[in-house]
Amino acid sequence: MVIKIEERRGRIIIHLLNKSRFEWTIEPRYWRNPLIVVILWILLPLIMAYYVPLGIVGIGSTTLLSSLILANVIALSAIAHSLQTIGTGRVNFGPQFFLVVGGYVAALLNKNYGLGSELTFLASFAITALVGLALSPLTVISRGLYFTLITLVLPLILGELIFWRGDIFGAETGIPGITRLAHTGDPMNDLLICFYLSLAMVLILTVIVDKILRSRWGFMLGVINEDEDVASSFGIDTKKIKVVTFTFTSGIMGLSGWFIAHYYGAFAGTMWLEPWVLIFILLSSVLGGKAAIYGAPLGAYFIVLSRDILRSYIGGGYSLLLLYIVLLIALYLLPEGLWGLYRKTRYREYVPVIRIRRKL
Amino acid sequence: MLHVSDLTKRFGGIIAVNGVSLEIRKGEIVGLIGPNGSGKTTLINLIAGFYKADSGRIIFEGVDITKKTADERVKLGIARTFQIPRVIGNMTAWQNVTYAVIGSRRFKEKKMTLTEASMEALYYLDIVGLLRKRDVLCRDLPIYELRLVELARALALNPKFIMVDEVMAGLNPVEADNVARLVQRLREEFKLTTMWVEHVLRIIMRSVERVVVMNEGKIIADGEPREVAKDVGVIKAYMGEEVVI
Amino acid sequence: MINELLLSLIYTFIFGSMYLGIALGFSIVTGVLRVFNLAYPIFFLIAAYGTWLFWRDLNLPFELSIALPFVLVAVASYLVYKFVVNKFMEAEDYMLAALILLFLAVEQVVSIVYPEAAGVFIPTRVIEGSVNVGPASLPGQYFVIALASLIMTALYVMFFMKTKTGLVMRAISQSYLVSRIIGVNFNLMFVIAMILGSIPPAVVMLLLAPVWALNPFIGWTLFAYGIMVAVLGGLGNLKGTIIAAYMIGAIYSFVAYLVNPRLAGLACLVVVVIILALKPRGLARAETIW
Repeated sequence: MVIKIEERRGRIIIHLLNKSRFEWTIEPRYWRNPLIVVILWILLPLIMAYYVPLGIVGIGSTTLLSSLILANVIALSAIAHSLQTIGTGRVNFGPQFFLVVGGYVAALLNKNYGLGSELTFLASFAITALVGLALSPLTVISRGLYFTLITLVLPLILGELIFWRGDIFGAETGIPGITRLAHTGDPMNDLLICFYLSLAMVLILTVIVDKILRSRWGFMLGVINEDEDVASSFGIDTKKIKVVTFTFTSGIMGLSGWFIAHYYGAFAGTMWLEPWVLIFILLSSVLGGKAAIYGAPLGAYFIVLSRDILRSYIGGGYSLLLLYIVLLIALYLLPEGLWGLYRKTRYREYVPVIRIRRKL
Repeated sequence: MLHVSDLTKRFGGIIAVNGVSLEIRKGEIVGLIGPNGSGKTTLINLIAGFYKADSGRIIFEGVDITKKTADERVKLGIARTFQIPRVIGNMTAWQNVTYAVIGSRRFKEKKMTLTEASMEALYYLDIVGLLRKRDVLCRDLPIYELRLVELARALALNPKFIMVDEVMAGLNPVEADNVARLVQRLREEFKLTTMWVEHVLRIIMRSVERVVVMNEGKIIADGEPREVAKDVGVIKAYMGEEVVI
Repeated sequence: MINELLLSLIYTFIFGSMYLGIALGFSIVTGVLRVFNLAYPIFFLIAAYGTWLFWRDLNLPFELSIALPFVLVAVASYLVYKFVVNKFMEAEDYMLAALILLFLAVEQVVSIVYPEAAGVFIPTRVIEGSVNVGPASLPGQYFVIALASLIMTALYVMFFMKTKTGLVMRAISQSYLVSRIIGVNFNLMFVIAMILGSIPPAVVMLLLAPVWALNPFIGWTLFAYGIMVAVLGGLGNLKGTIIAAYMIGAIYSFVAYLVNPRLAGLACLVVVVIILALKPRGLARAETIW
């Protein structure tokens, strides 16, 4: 007998080759929800792409997959943004700046020096993190609204830079001809590969960030988010932690840019510097879960899927308008974010808050 | 133990602390009193590293800490409580003590895990008598219990020197008495050198061995509580109002 | 060389005043409400496209069509206050997100109804043709814009210094808590500040319309300068705003005429970030509005 399934004391136990076994409690209260979600997350797109007629939601399977890929990219940046919000106690209004830096690093290195996507992956992370490190004194110097404003200005600077050196950055047309992540010949397979790659990145990042937040570092990040003065008067080196967090999360945002560059095979920074990218990332993190990291992918999927479903039904400019209205309404209806709908008040877990002005 | 010399701090045109020199010996319990705006809390903030001194030096156990940041001073063994309790409202009492254990010096030295740190946090919560409230979010705790959390949190740093800032403000007499006795007990149990800031002398008269009186950023009296109390007339004349009784 | 210097100086005055006009309303709102009104660029759009709507689509007389958008702008700022700022006073992440969304939605509406190809044009030229100043020949309209900005700034400063409402607003900007204790009607004051803050962008936009090519996405571009000036000046301080506006104007025109026109915007932004790194609270510390 290779697999033996038995039910004992309210649990289903699956024996595999009499060696390893897997247990699952029947009572729903004890279900391991993260595991279920991850399995569904991995399987659903595959099933939907191949077996479910998507006419009902109005989008084809390729459209669905490509919007899920975009959602993953946004989620990647949004998780980093959430972690940054917690770990620096400041809300960054220019996440797309780091995304574009990462994208250009990948695009330029690939185009001009022929680096493969694996090497540009490392380079994107490293260089964006370095840019983050260079800018990280901002998290020590400026607080509250000032930080928000400075970070809002950063993408504008990059935009000017792109136009100034159009010969390098390709101005509005961008940089075409970047090595694609997948080139199997079958577009559907390419999309699936890209989807699973982006999903893997999101899942790995979620696990890493989750581990960080549950460790002693998570504690310190939480205290810094709430009250920096208290943090420093109880032995926490706030400067170091803020700088490290900012650097690391900047690097992650750069990875989103890396993915975009290699996925589309072209990178036009000006497009990704526009305010809608800011709104997508910011709202994924804020509306998704009020800086709770599990809410960020939820928010990203909600926003990107609403956009694409609306677009396939209505099309053109009206769908974007409707998307903005839907998101506005969501802000009114979900004071605790999407994640707040699921999360019950679990006392032992620290729930972050976002505050921009620290005091009145 | 703590040696402060000629410490000055200005805020704009106001000199909050004006050339204060102070010596606190090991094991002592010192009361620091003075009217509102006399610079008591500023002095604490200077010693704790919240503010940077404009001039003067602070030496703690032979180490010049004038230029050290707040968290470095904590690692050397200086702890404080806040006049208005500043705990993290979105964390439970337990978590609030836990991060202090994490921030303490021994956390790194003993290579403690998070679990060990939280177990130690429970120990300190038990000492102040808040074990049963460990899972209550701090924003839901009344002020008396917040003060206890603050004390537990300061203790969790395993300090040598603790500064208690108006720990009895806003409490009813019974609670205030409890807290006063707790501070005394903790001092004996953990062999803490204590600086106890209070608005009025009467409250800490019996608890402290020495009293320092501040007014307008300067120290105007320093001695045994009885002697200082005798000088009331002088001090009254000095301050022009009845604050020290 | 001398000519270029002179030209740069003249443009410093013109651009400086224009940036002042753009940032004025934003600074006032930030100063009084201590709220960062990211929906500010909608006022530019409402003013320009509102006029076109009344004038061309509803066939109203031109003068009336210019006046009516001001009513629209006032109503819009009231609605923004009522339904976004006031609602999300305690959750600022949501407030700022909602304000950006609102701006994007309005921009989207405008670009659907009046795409760039619609050729929206508003003939608000006060001085036809160019004016010769020394070596330079500038569109006369620039001087009108500069003058209008200066007059508006002067009026607002007078308002804050001389009137009772202005005094109350200065009090609010200094301490929210204290003014709450003395019983100020906050909602009213905030609404007034929002409406006052919405007029300058409308005026500047209407005067700018004939010289700059109008397009639905002009709001964010103009707002970028507003942000730079307001941040550099110290949030919500009019003195700082005035200094910062001319500073940005100077950097812009000197870099544009002496170095490279394409570097002008970049230079301004870099200077802003450098100054903010050194003086994190801007040129004037932002505890008061004046």
